[in-house]
Amino acid sequence: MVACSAAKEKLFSLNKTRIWVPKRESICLGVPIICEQCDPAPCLVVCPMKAISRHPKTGSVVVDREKCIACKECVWACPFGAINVQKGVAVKCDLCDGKPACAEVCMPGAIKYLDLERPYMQKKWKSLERRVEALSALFSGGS
Amino acid sequence: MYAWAGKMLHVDLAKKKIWKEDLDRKLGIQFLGGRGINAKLLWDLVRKPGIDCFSPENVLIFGTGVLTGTTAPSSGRTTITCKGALTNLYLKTNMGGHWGAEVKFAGYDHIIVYQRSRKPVYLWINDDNVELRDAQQLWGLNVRQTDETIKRENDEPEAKVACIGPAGENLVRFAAVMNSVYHAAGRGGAGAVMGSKKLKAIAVRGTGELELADPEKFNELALSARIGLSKDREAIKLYRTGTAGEMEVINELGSFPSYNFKVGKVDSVYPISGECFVEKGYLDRRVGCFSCTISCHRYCSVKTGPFAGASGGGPEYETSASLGGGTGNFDTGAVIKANELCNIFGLDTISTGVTIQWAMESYERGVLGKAGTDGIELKFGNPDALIATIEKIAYRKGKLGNMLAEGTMRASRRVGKRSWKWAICNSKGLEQSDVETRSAKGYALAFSVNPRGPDHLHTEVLAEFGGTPTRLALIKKITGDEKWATPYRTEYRPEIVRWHEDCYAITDSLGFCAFSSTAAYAVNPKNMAEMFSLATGMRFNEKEIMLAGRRIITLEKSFNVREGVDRKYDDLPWRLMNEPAPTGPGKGLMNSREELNGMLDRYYALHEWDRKTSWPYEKTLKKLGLKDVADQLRKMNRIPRPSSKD
Repeated sequence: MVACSAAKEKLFSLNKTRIWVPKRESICLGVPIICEQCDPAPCLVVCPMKAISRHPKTGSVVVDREKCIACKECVWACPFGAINVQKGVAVKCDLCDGKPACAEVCMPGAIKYLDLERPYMQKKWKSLERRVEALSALFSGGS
Repeated sequence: MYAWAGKMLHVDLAKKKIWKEDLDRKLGIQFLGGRGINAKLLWDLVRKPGIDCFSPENVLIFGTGVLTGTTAPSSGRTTITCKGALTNLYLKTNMGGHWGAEVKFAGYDHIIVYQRSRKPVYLWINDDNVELRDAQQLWGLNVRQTDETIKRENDEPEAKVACIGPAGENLVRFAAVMNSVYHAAGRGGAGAVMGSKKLKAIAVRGTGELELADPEKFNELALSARIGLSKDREAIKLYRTGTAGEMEVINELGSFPSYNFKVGKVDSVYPISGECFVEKGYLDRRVGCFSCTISCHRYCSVKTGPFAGASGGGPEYETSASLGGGTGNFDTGAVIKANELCNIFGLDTISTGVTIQWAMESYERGVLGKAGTDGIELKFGNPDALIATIEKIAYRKGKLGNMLAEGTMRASRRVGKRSWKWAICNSKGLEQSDVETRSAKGYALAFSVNPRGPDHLHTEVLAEFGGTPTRLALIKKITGDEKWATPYRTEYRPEIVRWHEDCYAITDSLGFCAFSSTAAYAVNPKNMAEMFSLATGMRFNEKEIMLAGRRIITLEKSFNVREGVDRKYDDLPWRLMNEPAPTGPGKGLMNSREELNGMLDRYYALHEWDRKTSWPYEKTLKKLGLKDVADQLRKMNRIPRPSSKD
């Protein structure tokens, strides 16, 4: 998370990031929440200003800071809670132009950057399922 | 200021006053941060020697590392400093977890707690808003419940809590301060000091940020250190099987101190080893502290058998060794259960285990009768006795609980009958961690000179075992020859210990984990100096930062000197100095007084301390920029005369 804020904001913080890891410390469980670069992407569809588009090179879903009016439509549309508004602009992961800082520093390899051909949502399904399961343990009180 | 959050938070519990102070840049230059600045603060704030650790005059200082909160690998550690409850001397105790980084993001480097509250309170920090709150409803809760209640009451699930459990409240002399539920600042009884101040917890929510002088170059260097660490053999082992891995190797060598250091090799150590936790399905997940690439911490639970349902962080090597092997319990479930109890009661697992071992041996020798154990069949290998005793200690229940809560040194004095002979603590009064020092001479020296008592967390000298290219290279760098990488020789041990002391002091002060610099070596004085420089904008090279390390070590020593400690306190438990090691390649070896004396002479000489008293000379202190320390010690007649050198 600090790697993300360092790459994006040149600051070290847990609050100015594009990835979040909610935790339940009593069972030592944390689950990363990050943009899944959905295809099709609900945020892209709902944006009234057409400020969200797909990056031609990396395929990531990116926000145009100039066009964004911080209406938070995308925040509500996102099924993963991966977008938030910081200083009047919607902020989300843009895969760091193909060199994501979080994957770079993640030594155990929990975050990996893979080049997947479209359509790729199917391929991510297993990992998504596992994370949803972990998230429900996080919030429900199970282990 | 770069890298540092730039503020110290002062909290007076008697007057209920809270004030903030800018961190003095000069302090940072001299003592870096974390452990270093903590030591300086303790020196300045506890000036009167001899005050009791539980008196309101004792202060409790929390210090985050300079690089805590950044991308530097394994840099999320925090040091707690005070007069210790077991030794009534200098105590620094260090914890991982995520609390320290949260404190820095809230805007503080150090938190200093003065005096004592009349009613239980806890400190709530939400960035700039800091307040003392009533903790009546938390008093009596265990660590898990405390953490959960504070988060719920404040509706801040992401807050980080450092707290004490019932053991700290009941002034058990080896109570720990716990953070992120399972990360302990275990040794020496900082939890008891916190309990004596009626401070239940410090809970923090920090949403701010840290700025570095050169974030881009810093990130590059941090990343290369991370990659180095992730490829390090030791680090990979720590990730795979945790600190409790490789116990079988130690056992095969006959250096596994079990049954209260009476036995060096047992039939099978497998059930309480890290390999077993992984292979037999006890391990639920591997856990990392803030910014850590190693992730040696774990979360284990018991699924079946009499201890089903037990769970928690760990068990670590020291826990398995002291609560498991030490008490003769080789049952996985029992060890995880005992570990869980220590975690939630807030007890140091090492001292708990070693104290119970002492009681078990006393019971078997007939020194402690059934009346003394409140009817418990306190024999080695009895898991029910172990678990019942832990609970008794935490709540000071009965005669046994109340006595053992005082620690091994005081308990053996109370029982008498020469029971100090099998009390595994030294003159300072801390229980020794589970390392067989009889066949590891560097460790023996490091343990004996440790200002807080005999354990491995002042100076870890794993390199003396050799065996890997990096360790051999380090030994060559220090001694000039690889052949000194052998733990059975006393030659060059003082040199090896001296180097590691400095390195360890910087490691703690910058917030790094000792595993990254003295078990694995991808973090070293050179890149620590570079990371420190890039982060803070100050220019430090390897030599300069090592000198800061030596300054810290000397200041810590001086604190004990002011308290009246001299050379005779630098020793080891009686058993290790007088009874030969029972098994293994080191069979028959001892840490005899003569042998220790030889190493100590050289060690003091290297430090330019007096050989007779072990006190630093005036010119040594001045050379390190510790003139005020020299002045104070001179007034107290604690400066040795140069003539007593020989």
